[in-house]
Amino acid sequence: MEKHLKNLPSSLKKTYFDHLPFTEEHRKEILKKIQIKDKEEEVLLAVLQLLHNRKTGFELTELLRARGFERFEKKEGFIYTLLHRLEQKNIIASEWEDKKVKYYRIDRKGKKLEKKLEVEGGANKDIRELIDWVYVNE
Amino acid sequence: MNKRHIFLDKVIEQVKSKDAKDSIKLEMEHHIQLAKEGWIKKGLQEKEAEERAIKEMGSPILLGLELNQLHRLTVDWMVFACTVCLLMIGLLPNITSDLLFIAEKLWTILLGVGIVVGIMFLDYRKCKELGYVFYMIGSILLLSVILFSNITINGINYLKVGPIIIKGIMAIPFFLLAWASLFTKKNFSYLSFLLFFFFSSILFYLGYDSISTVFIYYTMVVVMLFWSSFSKKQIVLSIVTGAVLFILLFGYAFFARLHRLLGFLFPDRYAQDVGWIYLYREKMWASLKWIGSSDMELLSFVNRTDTVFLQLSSQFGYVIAVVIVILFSALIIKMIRNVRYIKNRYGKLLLIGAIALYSIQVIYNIGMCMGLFPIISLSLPFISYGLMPTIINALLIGLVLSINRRKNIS
Repeated sequence: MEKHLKNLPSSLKKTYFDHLPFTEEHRKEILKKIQIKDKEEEVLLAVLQLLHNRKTGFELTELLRARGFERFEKKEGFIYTLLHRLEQKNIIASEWEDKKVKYYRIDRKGKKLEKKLEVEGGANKDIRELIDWVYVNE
Repeated sequence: MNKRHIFLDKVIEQVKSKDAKDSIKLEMEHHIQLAKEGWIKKGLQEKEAEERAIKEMGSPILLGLELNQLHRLTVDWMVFACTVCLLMIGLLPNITSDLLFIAEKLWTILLGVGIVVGIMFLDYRKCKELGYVFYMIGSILLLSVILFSNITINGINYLKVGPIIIKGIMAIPFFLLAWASLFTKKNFSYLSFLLFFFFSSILFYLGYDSISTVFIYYTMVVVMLFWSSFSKKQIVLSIVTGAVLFILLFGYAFFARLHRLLGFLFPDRYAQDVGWIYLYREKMWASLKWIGSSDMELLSFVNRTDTVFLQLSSQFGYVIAVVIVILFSALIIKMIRNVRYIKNRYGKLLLIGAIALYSIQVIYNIGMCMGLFPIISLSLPFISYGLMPTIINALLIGLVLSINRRKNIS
């Protein structure tokens, strides 16, 4: 830092920032904003990444929560509408184990979509269309 | 009834499809169970844990409504509409004949549509375990024609029981159902396939149906083989075996058949006997116009209903030929496009077999009328006259719609 700016932070604290208190409330709000990364394409990308190994809907919900997504908070059941939609589009595939537990896994089409999402994000027109379809009614 | 079941029932109440209900319930119950165990680990009492787990799922009614939309049973209207249009075109060849004839044809059309709709509502998956039963029905049908046939028309044996005429070609749909089921069986070995296939070939041969029946049957089995779990080597081996069998079985009239084939290849040289039909066909194509006229000379070889495509073209011009080709192409392409959305392996095999069985008739018949293939006795689905072919093809389309209707159920 240049010499004549050396005292700037401390003097600002005394004068200008004195009127702008940073309360606990502010801190919470900012933290919340950082955590909300529930943009559709990000959830979709996370789902695709997580399904490289087969998982049940429950396992997926837990892992999404661990990654900080809140989209399915208090509406966990809706993870299944997402999964069933993706399955119908052949983006993911499913299998029943012992006719009791349903597992999902990414399919070939899903892997292509994942690459596209990583590169272009939600900007691509096809992806936009797909996302609109996947999240219809939500 | 505990809370969990109240929740699940509320979800399921919204879902109309019976098949989807069960799988959704199973999946959600598994989720709630695990979530509950999680809350117990975090220190909640059992009852509280379950309540918490259910609360986290969200609104059961909204969830159910959305799932219902996802799993509603669909009708492939494109396939249905093409089928009805083609059936209606079947009225055209007889439009000038007497009312009784038209009434009879109308009755066949209604029956065809009825069968398509009826089969569509049936759940094809119920047939999955019945592979051997269908094989038996097909075999018994062929055996009864072999043993008890009481009339012969154009060298083909039929069994007439009251108003019903039974012939070998009617056994093919049963073999379609049989092979789709057997190919998805885990313990169905390649050797048993060869044995069963050989036996059915012998029956078709002894039933002395026309060569076209066996040709259709073989094509269907070969197409289905590619989607079976047999290895490439085994598939190639079975095709070779089938071809050898075909030549052996139908080699008895080898020279007569060769003669006819030569007539197809060099019609000018055989203009006096087997070639004239092809020359006639050429002449007829040459005289076709865009808009036809009703007083044109009608061509009929083999029998009139097999060449209905040519007859309609001469009566109504190229326009109708183009319309027919477009309708058949749309139907077949739409059916093929559906294949990739079918997740059930049995459904996929059945669908592929049904498409093959249907398409081969269309492609060969139109190709035959246009002069691309030698002439055999084969009717054009839905347009040719005849109750039995219409019923069989309506069954196939009904099956295709039934499979497509349940595409979202694994």
